Amino acid sequence: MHVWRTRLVASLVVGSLLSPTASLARPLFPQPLLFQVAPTRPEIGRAQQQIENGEFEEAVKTLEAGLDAPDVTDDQLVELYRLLGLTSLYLGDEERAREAYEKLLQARPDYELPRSASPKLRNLYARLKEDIKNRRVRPVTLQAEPLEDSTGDKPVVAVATIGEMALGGRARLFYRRAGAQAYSSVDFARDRTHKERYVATIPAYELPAAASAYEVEYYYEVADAAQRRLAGRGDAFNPLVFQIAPEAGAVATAGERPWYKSPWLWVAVGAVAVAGTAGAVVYATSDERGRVPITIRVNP
Amino acid sequence: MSPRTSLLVLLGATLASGCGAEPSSSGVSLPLDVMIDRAVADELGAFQVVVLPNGQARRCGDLQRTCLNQQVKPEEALLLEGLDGKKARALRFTAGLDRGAQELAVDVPVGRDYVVVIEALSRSSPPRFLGSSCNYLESVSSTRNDALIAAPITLVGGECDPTFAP
Repeated sequence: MHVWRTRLVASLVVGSLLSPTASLARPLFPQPLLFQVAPTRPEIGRAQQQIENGEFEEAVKTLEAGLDAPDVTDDQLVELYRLLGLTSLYLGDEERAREAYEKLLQARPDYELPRSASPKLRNLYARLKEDIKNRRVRPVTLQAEPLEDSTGDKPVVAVATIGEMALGGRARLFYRRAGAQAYSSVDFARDRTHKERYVATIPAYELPAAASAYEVEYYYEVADAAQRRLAGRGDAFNPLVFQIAPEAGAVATAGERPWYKSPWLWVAVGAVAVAGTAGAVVYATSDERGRVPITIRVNP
Repeated sequence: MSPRTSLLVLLGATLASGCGAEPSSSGVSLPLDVMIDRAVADELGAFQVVVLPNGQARRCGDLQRTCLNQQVKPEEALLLEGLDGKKARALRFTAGLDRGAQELAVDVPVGRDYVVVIEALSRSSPPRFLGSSCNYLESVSSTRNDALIAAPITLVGGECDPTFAP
């Protein structure tokens, strides 16, 4: 009888935690639009299946592999840690469960278990939260104003307020021209005059002026030494955007013929090639300078 | 003991006392070392800053061995600008060390992957190379750049003239 009751409680807990949206609780976060949805991590689905099958140790391995993967979004991170905490509890590893929920709270300080979670689990979670609070482990927070539209050939400066920066943590601004495949990044540097103020600059040569306007996608991220995201704004799949205005005097005209039939296209291609080469030479011999302070030291 | 044996023993003892390397911490060599260092330090007259492109392809160990002008062509170095507006591929700053350090600033063309070589020059005319510091500089932005804390220069005596052709 006791065994049956335990199994029933376990099934209810697992069921409720694996489908928090099915509970009566209000959704914690608004559902993203379909086109904004990042690809689901295969590890999450696999781990859910393994938990349902009672393969908890396998599930832990799957979840840890998921956490080590690059480009994990906030939502995925929360789900991975939530499942890891749950699985650890079933394995009786309260220490690892505590660690997982701690990370979860760092990523989402306001995270609450769904109301359908069992009282036992909710009590444990409340106790963990209280312990974390008493240990003064505070979540990393990042606040940043959206970058304003700019003109080409000018650096863009991003200012962020980062609270409780983790030891060994790294704050970066990722950016790419819309349509490009990979992001580049610049590190935030702490402002010497203000403890929580950080500044990052996208160099002017990364934002060249163009005849037509173009968009730059970007996001902020604070990661720990193991490259796990602690806080951020936007992510690789849901970037923020600012625009680079067209060059003054440039006029974009639409051709009547399909673009690929226009002889001017090929003239333009040639011109771009020549201009690109010339631009590279001009850039290499550019007069734009930056002041570099140098401290010389001489051994006694 | 015969007079001959005595003489041999005396000769052996004399030779033994004069053989072997002198310990480096002996009371004689230490003041001498300090004097040599001081002499070189007193000779320090200026620092010369040169910035080279393609930093990752260069080997600092080689660049520091002797005068930079013997290893790179003058036109390889970037055109720098001092705070006084003076432009040159090798900028010189009069030495004015404060507790073993000196701060200065140079305007460097915006770009990436540089090496900054700082050479210590003697007061003599023509100046002599006294040592150098080689530092990788990842990027230079037109807005704000972090201070480059150069690797310490160890002053040694050198013979070459580090002057770069203008």
